[in-house]
Amino acid sequence: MAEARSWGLVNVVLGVVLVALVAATAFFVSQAPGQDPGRVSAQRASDEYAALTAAAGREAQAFLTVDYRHLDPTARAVLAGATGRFRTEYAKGLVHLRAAARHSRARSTGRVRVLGIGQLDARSAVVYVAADSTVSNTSTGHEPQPRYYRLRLDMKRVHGAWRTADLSFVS
Amino acid sequence: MSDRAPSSGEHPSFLGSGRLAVVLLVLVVLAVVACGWALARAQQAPAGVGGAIRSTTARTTGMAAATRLTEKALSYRWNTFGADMRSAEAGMTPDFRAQYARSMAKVREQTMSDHVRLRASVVASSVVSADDHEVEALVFVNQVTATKGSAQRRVDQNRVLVTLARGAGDWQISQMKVF
Repeated sequence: MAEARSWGLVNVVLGVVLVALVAATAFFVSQAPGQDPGRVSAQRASDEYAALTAAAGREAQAFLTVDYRHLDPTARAVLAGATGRFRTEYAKGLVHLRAAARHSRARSTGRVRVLGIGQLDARSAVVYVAADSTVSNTSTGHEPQPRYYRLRLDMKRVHGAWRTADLSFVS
Repeated sequence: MSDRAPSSGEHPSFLGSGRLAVVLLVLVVLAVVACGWALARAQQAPAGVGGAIRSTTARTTGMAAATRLTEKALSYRWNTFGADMRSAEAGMTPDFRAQYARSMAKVREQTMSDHVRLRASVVASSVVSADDHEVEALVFVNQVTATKGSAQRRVDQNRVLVTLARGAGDWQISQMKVF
């Protein structure tokens, strides 16, 4: 009888522990990614952010990089990330850009410092970029000089990928 | 009543059996494993999050606060210097407040002697990263400086990286870097 009571006590304790563990498991499962709509939303926003800023960063870097000896790779990079009016205008201006770059023997290496998202919805976004470049041309006496930029990139989603629809300097 | 008596008499022996203890022990071990797995999964960051935007609410509220607090922190006038400082300090964490006070102490004398009026306007604001406790914002600020005896106003176009922290209350500036 005393042995049965001892086992009874052990079983009650084990039962309580089991119930507590089942409850804790259920709670942790409910907190896992994919179960909470808020976290799913944050994850989507974060994925979107990464894709958007990567595209904007590539475009800003390409736009600020110029080498009068090899302009084609830069132009191709800018056009690959561009869409709409910006793409059309940049393509149109390439002849002048080539001539001006050759004439001034311009070289510039862009470096994106910080990017931030100003606005974002499913189809469009505004990204602000703080970028620097080191510029040398005839007017700098071919000495490298630093330049500091504040850029605004208007981005559009085209066939699932972010493209730059407009690029301007923030004054 | 007489049918139920034997049945109720069996319960104590079943509850007090060693076999039940073995079964419960096995179940407890399985539950420990399941609970550990669920805990690890719950603590896992959502895939794709790279320290960027973890909270869309923080992004919205943080960006608005960054605009408002940056303008306050970077604007002051010689004739309202103390009040401007106090107003700006209300939007700062204690650590950053001390740093800000040291910086302002350095410009105080010249501000008074030259009747400096400095107005900061945010022309663009954006969010670099955001979670429920911290927001990093990229803010483009135009600072217009006017001084006594000079008709010319100097305009500085700055890029400011502002970090905001939020404890129990509102967003406060915890770091500010003009670059």
